Amino acid sequence: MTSVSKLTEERRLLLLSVLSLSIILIFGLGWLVASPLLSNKSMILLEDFPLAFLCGLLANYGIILCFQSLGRCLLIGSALSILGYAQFGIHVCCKGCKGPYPLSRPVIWCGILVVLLLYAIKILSEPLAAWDARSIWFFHAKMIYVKGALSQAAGWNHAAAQFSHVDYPKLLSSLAAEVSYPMRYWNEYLPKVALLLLLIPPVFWIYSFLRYSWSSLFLLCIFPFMMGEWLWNGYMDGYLAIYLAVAMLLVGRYITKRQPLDLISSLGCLVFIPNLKNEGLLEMFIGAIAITITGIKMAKANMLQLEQVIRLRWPQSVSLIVCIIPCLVWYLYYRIAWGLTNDLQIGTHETFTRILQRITDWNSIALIFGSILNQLWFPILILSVLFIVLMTGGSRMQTEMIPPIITGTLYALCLFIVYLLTPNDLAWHLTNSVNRTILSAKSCFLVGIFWMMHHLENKAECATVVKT
Amino acid sequence: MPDTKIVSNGSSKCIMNEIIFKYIWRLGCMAIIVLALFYLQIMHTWSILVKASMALVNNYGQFQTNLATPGSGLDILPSQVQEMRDILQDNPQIVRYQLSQQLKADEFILQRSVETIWPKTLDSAAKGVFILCSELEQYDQCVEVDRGKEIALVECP
Repeated sequence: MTSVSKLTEERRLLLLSVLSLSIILIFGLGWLVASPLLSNKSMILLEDFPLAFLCGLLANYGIILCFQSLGRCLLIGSALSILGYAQFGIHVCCKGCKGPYPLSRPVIWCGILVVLLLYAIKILSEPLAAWDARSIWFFHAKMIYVKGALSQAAGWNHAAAQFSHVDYPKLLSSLAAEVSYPMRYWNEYLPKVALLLLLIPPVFWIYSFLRYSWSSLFLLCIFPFMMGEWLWNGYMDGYLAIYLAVAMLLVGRYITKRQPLDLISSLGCLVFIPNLKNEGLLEMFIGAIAITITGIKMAKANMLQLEQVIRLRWPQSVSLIVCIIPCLVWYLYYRIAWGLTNDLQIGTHETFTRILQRITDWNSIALIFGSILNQLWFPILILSVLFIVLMTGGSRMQTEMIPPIITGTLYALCLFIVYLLTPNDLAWHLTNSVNRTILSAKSCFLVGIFWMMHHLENKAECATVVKT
Repeated sequence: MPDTKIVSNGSSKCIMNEIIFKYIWRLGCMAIIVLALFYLQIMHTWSILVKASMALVNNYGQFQTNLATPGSGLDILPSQVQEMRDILQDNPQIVRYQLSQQLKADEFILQRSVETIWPKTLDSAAKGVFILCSELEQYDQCVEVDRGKEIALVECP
């Protein structure tokens, strides 16, 4: 009996170490990758930390994709992380931390801690139960954990595993396997630590928008809470949506404040989402199209000079390549080399036949359109009302509102097409998925509402600033 | 930076705008936030998160034990899948198995068993077959290896 309780006590201590070390190591690794992208001046904790952490998650996934063995990856990651901390120490000593978000703003830090703590408790206090979480993400994690490597030998081509969408990217799964690996056991709680690690960067970024204003209050109320259960039940849709929303928020702040770090962070989020789920690839392209359209519009209006934006030196190029590599390696190499295919059969003859059948069937179109609109009517209604207020006040549509609205609209249209080509029963597919797949579009529209509110409350067209 | 203050230029349009942005705007913002809290189910999410935290305060020991115990949390699985897992643990020589047609027809049981029992794999060529106890008569040509309350493992030629 004593030996059992001693064993449990040892496990608890090890567990605490694994939890703390995972955050510490990812940040160190991320700092090594992200430091060339960060400000050359002093450090802004609230904005530098999440970018470094995001790069850490990407670099860790990249290491696993390259070296495969979990043990080897943990060793390499730890060594690189130590190097990252050395660089971090030099950076802090030479350049220091600065405002406008110094540690003296306890409200922001308390907010971040409270939100992360609430989610940590919810995530870790429930076993894995949701269908996709068990059948896809954490099943893949278990396959990686059991094999001790993200290799083909884990069983991706086994006939019994084909229901689990084996072609999906493995960032979350490999992270969950890595968390369990040093503990040497598998259960239905511990791997969920990976969900918490994914949540850290967006919460930091969202709280970097905290001001004493209505728009800020609106933002903090909806993100991350509007995602509901999708952030703790092990599905990836909530994470896709929150990262896309953060990308749109950051690009909006870049447009209003012109801090290069915001644009880099926004692009970082866009590059990150394809590693969460296949739909992320589509979101990345749509987000990039929206940002490009906005950039062209700004350049035409002489609001932006392209050479200011694209000014990369070689260390920054290396950082960007490290961030992009995991996505390329998974989608362009492993999926093809391992022969992993998608259940939607995109690009096949059957796909086009189904699209043609459904597009001529008024009931199918009405069903898809109705289901999507049922999820989106609230943000669209508020957007329309605010747009009318904006126009009546004599304002134009502001540039920062464009990327989220374009992204949300295009993504909703793409979802419409995806549902047109689904090989599953349409009504069943819509009932079981539209409330989560539409989250990304909904989040983009809500970011659009935030930027409209932000603009309206800052609007002082008829006021003049008089120096006293 | 010099001290600054904002003053209106006094035109009627501007006074109107000031009224909109000072008073009606505040009401509008409050309305948007309140609507969002309810329509987007944010209040519901908050209440779930707070309830989970309260539950943790009352049961911190269990929370830690769940995380630190190998194989914990399997009690959320259907009883048939739990039985299959137990039977295979008692019979470590069996590394591949099949499911009876009746069990295989239930997608939930099929997927839960495959992912829970992994790395022992579902294989149509395996000799060991999981069947419902009620199906035993149909498998009279097979040898019973082990049996639970609802599930039996038989070895078929």
